[in-house]
Amino acid sequence: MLLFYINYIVPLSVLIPLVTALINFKYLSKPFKIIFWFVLLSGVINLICIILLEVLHKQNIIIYHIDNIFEFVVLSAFYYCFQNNTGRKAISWILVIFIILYIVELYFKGLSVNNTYTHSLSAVIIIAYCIQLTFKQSEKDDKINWGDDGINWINTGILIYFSSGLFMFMSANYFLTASQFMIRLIWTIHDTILFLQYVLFAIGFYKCKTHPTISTY
Amino acid sequence: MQNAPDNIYILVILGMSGTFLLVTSFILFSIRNQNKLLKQRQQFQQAEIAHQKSLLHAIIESQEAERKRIGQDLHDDVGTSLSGLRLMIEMFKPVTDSDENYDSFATSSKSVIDKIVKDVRNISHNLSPTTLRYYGLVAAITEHCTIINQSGKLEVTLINEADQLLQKLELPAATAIYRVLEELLNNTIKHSGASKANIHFLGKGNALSIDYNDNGKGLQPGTEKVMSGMGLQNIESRLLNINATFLTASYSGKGFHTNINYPII
Repeated sequence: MLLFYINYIVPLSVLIPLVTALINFKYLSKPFKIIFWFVLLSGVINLICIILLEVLHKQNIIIYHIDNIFEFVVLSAFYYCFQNNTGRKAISWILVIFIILYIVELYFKGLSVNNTYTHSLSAVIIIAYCIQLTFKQSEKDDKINWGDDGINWINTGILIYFSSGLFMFMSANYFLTASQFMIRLIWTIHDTILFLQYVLFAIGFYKCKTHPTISTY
Repeated sequence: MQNAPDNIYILVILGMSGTFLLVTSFILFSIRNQNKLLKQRQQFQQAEIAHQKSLLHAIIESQEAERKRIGQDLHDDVGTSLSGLRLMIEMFKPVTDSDENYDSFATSSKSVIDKIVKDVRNISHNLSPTTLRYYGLVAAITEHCTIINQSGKLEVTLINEADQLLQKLELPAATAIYRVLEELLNNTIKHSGASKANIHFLGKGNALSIDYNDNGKGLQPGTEKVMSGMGLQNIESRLLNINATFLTASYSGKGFHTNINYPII
């Protein structure tokens, strides 16, 4: 049952935000479109991982490395949309430094283990982006409810996923030697948070019509 | 005795759960805070609107009072003086009875005075329509329409199907609606090039609905500019003051149409 949940239900739940986004596609502004492509490509990567592991019985850790970099770059692009000039420059520099650090860690640790330091670092940076946007949104002189702004839902989804998953990213290498039960338990928790993120994204896409893109640029 | 080592997986799960709770609380707190601020802002805005409405009310009231005073002064003082002057000219007798110059002077003076008296009366009625005060809105509008119809500038038709509701209409509201209709008719004559206009009073439950339309050129594209004109701003502020709403349809080339809805409590 747990395997079915991890292997089928959660990966397929990616369709919830994707369908919602496609229905409202003409209303999606740039940040929403970035999240749409993020969800779509995450879904594809997830699918490739499942095929490699379950069908071809091969290691999928290389795909995880690609996913980690892709995830950080796309989410940085999302938060880039809400920054002023200084913020945009800072994000560009963060991206360059992150990619260099990732390659350095990869060089020292090899391809067969998780890049726990840089992956955890990326999660911490994304949490910082989320908190900054939360404060920015609360200072906005808008006349709409928190729930009516789609960006708030998407930001919340990202914040919950990365902050809850941070401990898992940090200890990812320990799980390589853990018992099957523990691995499944941890993945079930992770997938539940991922599912919650997708649901929050879907609500965000649904509410996108009421959202005028804010930018201090 | 050796202590059992901590299970790292359980610690990770606990860490994940704790962070999840912490973040969720942070978000909920942020939502509550933001919605509270929004509510406060809305309350403040509502208070500000109410204050502005009371100011507008005071301005309109004082404007009406001043119009009434000037109208009465014109009617009583200037009108009486002119009548006196006319009488004096009539009573004046020249040295010789058959002075042709005097006769033509007296006739032309009297006709000028009659015209001035008529104009003063019209101005006075426009400033403070006595018919509105004594006979109500429909009588005042009918009188105004009759004057317009007689001038030949426009053919105005008035249909009244809200007699009972109009009886309940108080003077400030009646004055506001009268002024609005006066402004609309004025706009039709001045800008629309229309030959016909219709005013239709209709009772819808406890609300008075007034339909106004003409067969002129209607509102041209770029209506925002027209809507910001003084005339329509006056209409808007007068209706806002009595809590009435209005809806203007813009059919360029098909005439102008507006519907006023006033709930009578």
